[in-house]
Amino acid sequence: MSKTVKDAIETIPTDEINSISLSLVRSEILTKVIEYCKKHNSAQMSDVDLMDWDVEFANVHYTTLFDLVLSANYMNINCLLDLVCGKIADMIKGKTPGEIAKLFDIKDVSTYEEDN
Amino acid sequence: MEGLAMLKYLISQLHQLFHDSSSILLQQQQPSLPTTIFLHPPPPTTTTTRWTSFDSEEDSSVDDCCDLVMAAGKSHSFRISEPLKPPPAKKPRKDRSRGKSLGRSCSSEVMEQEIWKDFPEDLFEAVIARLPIAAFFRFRSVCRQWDSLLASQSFSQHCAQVPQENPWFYTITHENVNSGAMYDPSLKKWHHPSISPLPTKLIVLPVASAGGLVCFLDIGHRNFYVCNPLTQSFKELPARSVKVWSRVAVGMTVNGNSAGSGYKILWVGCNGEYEVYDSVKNSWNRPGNIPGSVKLPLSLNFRSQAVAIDSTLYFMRSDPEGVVSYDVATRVWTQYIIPAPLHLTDHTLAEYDGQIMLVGLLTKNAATCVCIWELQKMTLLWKEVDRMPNIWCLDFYGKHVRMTCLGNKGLLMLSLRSKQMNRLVTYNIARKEWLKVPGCVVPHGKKRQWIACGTAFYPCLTAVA
Repeated sequence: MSKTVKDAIETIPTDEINSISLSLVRSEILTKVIEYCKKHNSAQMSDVDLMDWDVEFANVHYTTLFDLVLSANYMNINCLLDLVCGKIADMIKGKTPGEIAKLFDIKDVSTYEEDN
Repeated sequence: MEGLAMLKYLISQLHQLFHDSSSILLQQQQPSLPTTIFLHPPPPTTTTTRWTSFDSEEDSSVDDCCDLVMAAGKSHSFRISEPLKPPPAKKPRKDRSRGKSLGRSCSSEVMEQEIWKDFPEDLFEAVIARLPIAAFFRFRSVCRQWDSLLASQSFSQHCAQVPQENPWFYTITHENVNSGAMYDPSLKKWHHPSISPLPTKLIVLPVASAGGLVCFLDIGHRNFYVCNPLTQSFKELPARSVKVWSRVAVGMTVNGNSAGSGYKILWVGCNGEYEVYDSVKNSWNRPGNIPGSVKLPLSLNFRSQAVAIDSTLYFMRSDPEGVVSYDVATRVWTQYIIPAPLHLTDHTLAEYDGQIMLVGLLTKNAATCVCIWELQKMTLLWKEVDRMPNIWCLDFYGKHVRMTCLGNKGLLMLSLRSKQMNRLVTYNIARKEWLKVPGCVVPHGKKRQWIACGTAFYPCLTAVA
């Protein structure tokens, strides 16, 4: 399973690495991702403690969260994607449907009426 | 230059990590995703507040109920109405701290559309599958696409992947035997569907559950019904080939991880008669007779629900004291003789993470306490691992108490009743946490309901009976 990522990394030509180096930013998100992967791989913590650690890990500024979800999706790290999507679900659960449509810029509004 | 060195280091670290790791699945990269990422300073992290393990506040009589109205109209169109009265102004201490730890401070003004309008559409299903059930029903009016999610195969797969931490409880109350009341322990809320998922002429009792579905048996022990309490998905099972009028114990398992791949229901009677229903074939089957190694008559403990671990169902028996198990995959019955703890009453089986447990009342002299035991597999003995806090047990001192255990996997709901008292408590096996449950009050009612019976179920929006 790591072969795909390994291949992806190996196929990046050296000069392309130079052009990616634009942003320290990317390294910041990568740092978070690596931190997550290392923690989940270490098997040193109990399940309950790991869950608590996950909650702490996902408790970040919404922009970091957005970046994390894109990275987790791009790199297809399912458990991290689960965690971040769960956190986003948590952040939006209290909103009204109108607020959701506005937030995500959803145009196709349902004709279905909601009782109040 | 420093940036390049740092990036190179990180890439080598990543390379190293994925080379060594064996637990994280990575698939082929998708070329269509954005590759630009914005920099923002990391926010100061807030400490999460852990719930107190014991709520000393008496719950007020103001009802906490949320009226869920689920009407079957067109397929997949449901209405949900929020309570007419505003929520109570003062929330218990626990709710306030919980709100903080879940990031309630990230309100709509903080989540800027600037960022979120670029949220990839293919990730919406993953997020929606993780919403609380009540929020899901509310958000169906956001757009047509979200409205049709219940019918979507991919959404169903997302739902199946979401690990359900806490089950809900489907209960039948003494005063309202025709429709159930459902309890959501994560929000500590009772829901009263005003339209029952079951036909109202029947009086049925929940006897087992698996994969988000609940199995009901009518009060005459004749017919079985399966239903998803959250949606209108309902099925009456075909008649059994054996007419059994006496009481039976019932167990339910799913094939695979979710009810999507089908389920099996087993009933067994004291005389050793049993049958297995397979949802894929929609028929009952009699795989053979109970072997001689299982002593008959089978004095089943009907207060105890069957426990399912993978494809094996476990039932409690007495005379001799112990457990009998049936593996629906191998079709093998096994008997385990396990001496019961002394002075034990109202006991039921439970399970957590593959470990079989026992819950029961221990009465010595005039003192009664709720105890939890674990089964030691090597010695086949029960070992006490926890007790209800003393201060709660004192409430029952000198009183004759009866206990019903609803749910038997991970989170248990215990209904403790004596002449003047009716207590509802949940116990989290993993966290060894005892919590009080707010009283079950019907909407516009004031009287706390008594729970007659019930079962836990893991809420799954897409489980189909």
